[in-house]
Amino acid sequence: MAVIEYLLLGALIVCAVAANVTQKLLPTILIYMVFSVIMSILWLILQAPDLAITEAAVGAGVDTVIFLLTLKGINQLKGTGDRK
Amino acid sequence: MNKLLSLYRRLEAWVEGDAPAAPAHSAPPPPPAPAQAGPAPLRTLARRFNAPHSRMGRLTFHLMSVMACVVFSLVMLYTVSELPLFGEPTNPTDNELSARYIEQGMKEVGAANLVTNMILVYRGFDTYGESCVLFLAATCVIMLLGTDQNNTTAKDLRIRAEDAQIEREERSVILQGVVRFIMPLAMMFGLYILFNGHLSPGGGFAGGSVLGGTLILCDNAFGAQQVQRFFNETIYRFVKIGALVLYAALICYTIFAGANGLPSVFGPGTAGRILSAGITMPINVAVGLEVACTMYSFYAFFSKGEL
Amino acid sequence: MAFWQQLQFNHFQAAAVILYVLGMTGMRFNRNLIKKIVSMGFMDSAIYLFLTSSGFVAGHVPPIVTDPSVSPSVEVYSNPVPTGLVLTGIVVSVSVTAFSLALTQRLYKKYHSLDIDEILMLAKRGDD
Repeated sequence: MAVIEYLLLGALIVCAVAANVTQKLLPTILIYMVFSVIMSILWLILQAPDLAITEAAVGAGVDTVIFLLTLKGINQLKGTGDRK
Repeated sequence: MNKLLSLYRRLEAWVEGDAPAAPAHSAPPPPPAPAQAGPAPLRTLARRFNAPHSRMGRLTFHLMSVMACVVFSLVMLYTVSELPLFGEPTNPTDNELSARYIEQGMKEVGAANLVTNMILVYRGFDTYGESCVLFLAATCVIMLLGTDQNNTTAKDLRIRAEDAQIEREERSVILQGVVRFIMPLAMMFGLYILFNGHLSPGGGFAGGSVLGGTLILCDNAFGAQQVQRFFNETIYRFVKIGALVLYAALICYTIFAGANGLPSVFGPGTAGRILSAGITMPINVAVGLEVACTMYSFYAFFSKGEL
Repeated sequence: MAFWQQLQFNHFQAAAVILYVLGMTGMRFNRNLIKKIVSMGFMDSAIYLFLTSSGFVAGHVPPIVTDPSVSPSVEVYSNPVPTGLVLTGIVVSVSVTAFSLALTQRLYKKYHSLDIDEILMLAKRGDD
């Protein structure tokens, strides 16, 4: 069990570093989504199933959708910009 | 008063003086800030960081921020190393408060989910404020992104119409098939979490998010017209405000009856039954509807500027 | 060494602190507004992780009564208070994220840039 905890916590930190280092915006947001999924597994380990459900629905679902729609709104997604 | 004003001016000058790194195509640098009257160290700092092309000043500033981050992390890690051990039952966080919630919560309120007991009844007013935060956030998003004359040009409208055209012509068959299969299940799961929140993990926030996600999925697969058949702006307003008012009425009644020692019509009931735990199930439903409406309105206003 | 040993015991809190500092660094050094918002999300999650890990009790079960005929006792269930606090916090953080993203879209519409320094400079020039 302890090994899984260390792996997941390490993955969290790797995600946080990678999101800061990445240059493009789309990978940053996908990394943020991965971060939320890992977080929801950690909530289960920490005896908080309420949080796990909420985080999986909110962090990985609605949050990512809003971020992607913002990217579309500011023409940073491929194929949505450059229209006169 | 005068003194305060001058202090504010000085602070403003100092904050504003943090000159941005000028991009290549920028206009000539702004004139250096006039000398401010003030204590010497502040003035020196202001002059150092005000100089727009001072490489030295920028470097110092960056170095100082790196130093601040490193020092902060070291201090915090040292603090963590002094904290009580993780997972011990004798930690100071596991005090009489949590003991009271665990031992008396089910007897007094009646819900088997002790977290729901805590956030919806003992701290119901707190959660009510939190629902108001959701309401306000949705209102702000509507104000900022809703389609009106101030923030939408003809070009935006044209692009939006083109997008809608493309979407209508190129609906993905795979997405529609998958959603047709998944959507009833997801909606049922959301309603289950909502209505069973006082007996199992979940509750208003989780169930509302799942319901909102289902609506977003339906909108993505079948288009806004299909969603508007059962969820248009009138229903949205009615549900959103009605849920908040229902929550307010329930929590006010509970506080009134509890504070005056009156017998409440919402008794605790038999723990473990679906119709138990008094006001927690109606409040869960109210919170869930509020959250679902908020999530769907975020999606709608971010994607097309109207519901 | 006592320091490292203690950090190993409190590994959840240590990871939360590191995440918080990473988010803070991102907020300071990224000039892109969207990356700033993502960094703010990391800071949020770090605080939630810290709070929830303080409510964990080893060997106990989540605070949900499965057998209502037995009176619940402190020896069985873990602490429900941090869970309740964080549950509301997660949903509020989504609202904050949506609000700041809406503001970002409006800023982009006006200044056609996501760089905070450029936006500040253009705004200052517009004021004069």
